[in-house]
Amino acid sequence: MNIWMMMLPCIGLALDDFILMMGKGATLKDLTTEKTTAYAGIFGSVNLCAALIGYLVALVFGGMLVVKVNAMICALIFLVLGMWFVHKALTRKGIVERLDLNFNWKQCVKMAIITNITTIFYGMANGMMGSSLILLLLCAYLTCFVAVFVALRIGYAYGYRFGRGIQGVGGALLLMMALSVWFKFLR
Amino acid sequence: MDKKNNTKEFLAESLRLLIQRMPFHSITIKKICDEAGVVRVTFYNYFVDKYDALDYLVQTDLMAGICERESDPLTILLTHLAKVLSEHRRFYEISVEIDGQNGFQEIFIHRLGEGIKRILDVHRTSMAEAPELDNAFLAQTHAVLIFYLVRTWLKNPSLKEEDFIKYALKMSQSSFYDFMK
Repeated sequence: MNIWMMMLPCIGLALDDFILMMGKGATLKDLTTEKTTAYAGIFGSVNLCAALIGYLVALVFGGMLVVKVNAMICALIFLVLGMWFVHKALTRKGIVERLDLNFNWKQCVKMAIITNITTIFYGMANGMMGSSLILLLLCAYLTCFVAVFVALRIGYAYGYRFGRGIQGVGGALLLMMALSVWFKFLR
Repeated sequence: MDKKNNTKEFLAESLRLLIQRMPFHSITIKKICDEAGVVRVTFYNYFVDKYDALDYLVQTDLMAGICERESDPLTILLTHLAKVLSEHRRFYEISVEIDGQNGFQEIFIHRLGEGIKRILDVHRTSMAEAPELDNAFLAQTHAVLIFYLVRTWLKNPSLKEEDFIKYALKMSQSSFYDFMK
């Protein structure tokens, strides 16, 4: 897959982190730039690890399958993820803006792990399509880092906004990716 | 210290204004801060969330009427309550409908109960008659009674302030059996 086909679903997945951390930013006090960078770094690192795990799983099992089957599974992964995100967008409710004095790096790690499980499937999809591992890990880390950093600052300064719309955009990107794989590799 | 108290007051009064303009669920901390003219983060220096700010408003409104050392503190409290409700009628008419966790009813009854308990702590000289009915219990029970009267008054604009005070005192001074005569 080319760089854009790797970036688009990555951005789509990162938007999920964006919404979550925008909501968290809205409940924090004394969010310094250092803390923001640290939390974004944690999310980026967990996302990178998830992508790597998925890629390695795909290398082990995907090698047993032919290219078209790999592409089909890849498209299916993006389709399911996209539908899941759109469903989340439709059912998403607002957050309760309440001061959270207990948020720390441990909680951040827990949240990152739970939110970025879907990245394992993204890693698998890329592994099946033979994408560059270095590019994959770079995409996974950077998009997540930037998304979380920006989200925390926005949430902190302006509160939680447009969660549904943003989640919907994420879902749309993933669905577009599913179609793109279909047209490029399976038609 | 004055500046801090002023900011807290500004934020609370901003919430009071916003409640009269839009549904409570759509009021965000950003809107409260914009109304008060402060940055968003300032809110968390004083309150945990908007319910906390609502609690502060109610507490501030009621506390001025708690004069537990006076000879007739209940009349003073009820008179003050009627005055506050009249002065901020629109705010209380809307707030009384705020439900859910930390809803207005819970906040109002809790704060009024606190004030009544202070009165009882000073004026109740003997527990011999009903030792199980401690001051906290009596205060909360009475606060619930007054809350329902407040809600009725707010929904019925034809009731006057004097009527509210009269009925509130009547219910405080009478037993259930008195109304059955």
